[in-house]
Amino acid sequence: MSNWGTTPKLPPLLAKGPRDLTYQQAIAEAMRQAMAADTRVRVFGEGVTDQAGTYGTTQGLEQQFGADRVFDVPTAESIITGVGIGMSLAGLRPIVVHPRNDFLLVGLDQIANHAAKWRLMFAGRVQAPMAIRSVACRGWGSAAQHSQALHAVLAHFPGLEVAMPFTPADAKGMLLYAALDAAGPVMIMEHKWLWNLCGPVDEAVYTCRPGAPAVIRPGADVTIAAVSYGVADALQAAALLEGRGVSAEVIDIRWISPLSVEPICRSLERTGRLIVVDTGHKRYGVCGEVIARVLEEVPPRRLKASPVRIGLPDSPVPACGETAYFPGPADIAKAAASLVGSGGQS
Amino acid sequence: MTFEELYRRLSLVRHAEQKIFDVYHSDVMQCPVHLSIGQESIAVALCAHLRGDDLKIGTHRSHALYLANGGDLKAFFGELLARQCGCSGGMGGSMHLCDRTNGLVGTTSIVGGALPIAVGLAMGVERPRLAAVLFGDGAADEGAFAEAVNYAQLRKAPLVFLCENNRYSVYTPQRVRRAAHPAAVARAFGMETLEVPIETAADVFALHDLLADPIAGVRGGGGPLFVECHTVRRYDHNGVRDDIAAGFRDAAERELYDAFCPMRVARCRLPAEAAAAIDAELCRSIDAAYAEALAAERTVLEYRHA
Repeated sequence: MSNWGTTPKLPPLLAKGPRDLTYQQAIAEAMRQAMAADTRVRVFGEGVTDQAGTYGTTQGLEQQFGADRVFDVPTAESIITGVGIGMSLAGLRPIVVHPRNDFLLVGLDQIANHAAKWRLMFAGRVQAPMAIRSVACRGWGSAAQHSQALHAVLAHFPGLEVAMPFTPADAKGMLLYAALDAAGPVMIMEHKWLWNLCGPVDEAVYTCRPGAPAVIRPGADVTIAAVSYGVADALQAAALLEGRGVSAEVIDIRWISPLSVEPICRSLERTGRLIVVDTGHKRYGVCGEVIARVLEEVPPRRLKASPVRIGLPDSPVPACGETAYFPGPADIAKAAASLVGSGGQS
Repeated sequence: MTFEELYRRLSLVRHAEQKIFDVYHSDVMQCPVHLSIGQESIAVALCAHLRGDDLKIGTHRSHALYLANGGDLKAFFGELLARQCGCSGGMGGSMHLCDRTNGLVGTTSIVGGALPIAVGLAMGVERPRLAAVLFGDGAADEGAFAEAVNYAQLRKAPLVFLCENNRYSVYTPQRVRRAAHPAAVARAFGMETLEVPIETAADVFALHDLLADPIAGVRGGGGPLFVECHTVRRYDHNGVRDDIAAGFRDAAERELYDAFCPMRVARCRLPAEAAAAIDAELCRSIDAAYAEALAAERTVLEYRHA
């Protein structure tokens, strides 16, 4: 048993389909299918060929596709990422795996100054398509340097596409898009706490290109837009709210770069109330960006209350007191109930 | 490559940069320029051994690499002049040159940033192709340098590391930056290493001969090669000021240049009339390419701010 720490057993959050996979299985399937679909695909990163195999998503790839195409690397994020860029420039399709968000920062120069810039800096004459997977985690006392969700940092840089898969179907399709189709670098920001989430996944090879947020649960009184594990919290909050007679619409933002807010605006025009839930810090993050973008589209008279941000507190993650530190379904439900209370029933 | 061909490339780089030097004061080039004057023999000798489909990457100081590698002159000046015909469409400026058809995948101005990418280039090409990276001794100060040297050697990647050691990172001398020469680091990782003194590095013919067998070895599958060439930068880190005269670097640097200017060294090896004829012909091409680039369409972008 790998160190899954306190990864929660999630309640069923997605409707069953003809073929259900967990988030982890969907990523593993995408990895296998990408390797099989295109011989240019390479997979490397810290521990991809060890027994744990990136929390079970790269296990068996080396045996199936060979050590030339799947290999472990030094603990040196700059060279790992740079090798990905170089291989891409040489015509390959690398999938670079950074098993923890926090370590991405060590290779940030290669991501932000190089991968993100290459296409624009050379007027599109040279391109560096690549998939960069990273996994956010939390819990088990992982503390300040092993619990970060740094997607907003990456979304700041033009030239990177940043995917925040919540459903197993997206986890597979976004990765296949990045590995097989994308014209530039794509960050796939996975969340370890979704590893056990079950949902329908098509067996075929398919790709999810950057696109619009998806309404996961329709509702009438309040719009809750969320990313990644925040959607799981939002769905559980919506269930709590239903018991209190409040109907919440839950929207999975899916891509934070490029960011599309159209479905959130349409929802807000009906509900008049907006909560944005992020797995990263509340300040300088997804919450503020989404709300600003929405307010540029939706006239203020359509709002029944000021939008609310729910994200991580303004301090690093403590080893103790994590349950107090991380917002959860009860916090979202409380905020929603308060919005509905202040704005009157619609 | 013959003496004459090597001289021709050396003279091309020198006179193209001399053109920049001559016009730069007028502000017609709205971008920084990092001249290679004093260091040109290194890129010329290296590129003489590279094929068009070998992959190359360079740094902010890559005029010599771009031109020695066969880059188009009009596209070169066009890039410095922010014209659509520029090699990077005017988006890159002098620090970001690319030439896909000749295997130059780009140049980066983040010191040391090219090194990890170069290892990936080498891991992505198939023999007999190889990859090459030109960088300065400042890049060796970065942690990425040690990462790249270690991993290239571990993977036996077909990569030529060519370090142009001019002893300065901008105006910061090596004595406050390094405990060991860059080549010593590569040697410690078990890499085949050549340390070339300035008298050889400044002699394009001698350096060309010296590099032939080691680069053939890389091409043949022998693993990476590390070459550290000692050299001297004639002008400022950036721009056309005489920073030595202005007191930013030791006066001894100027003495080194006077003794080891690659053009002066090379001219001693060719008949004077032959060298002068080549220079005159190249200057005409350079002037024509510059004039064409100057007359070409500017790159104009529009952004909506509200």
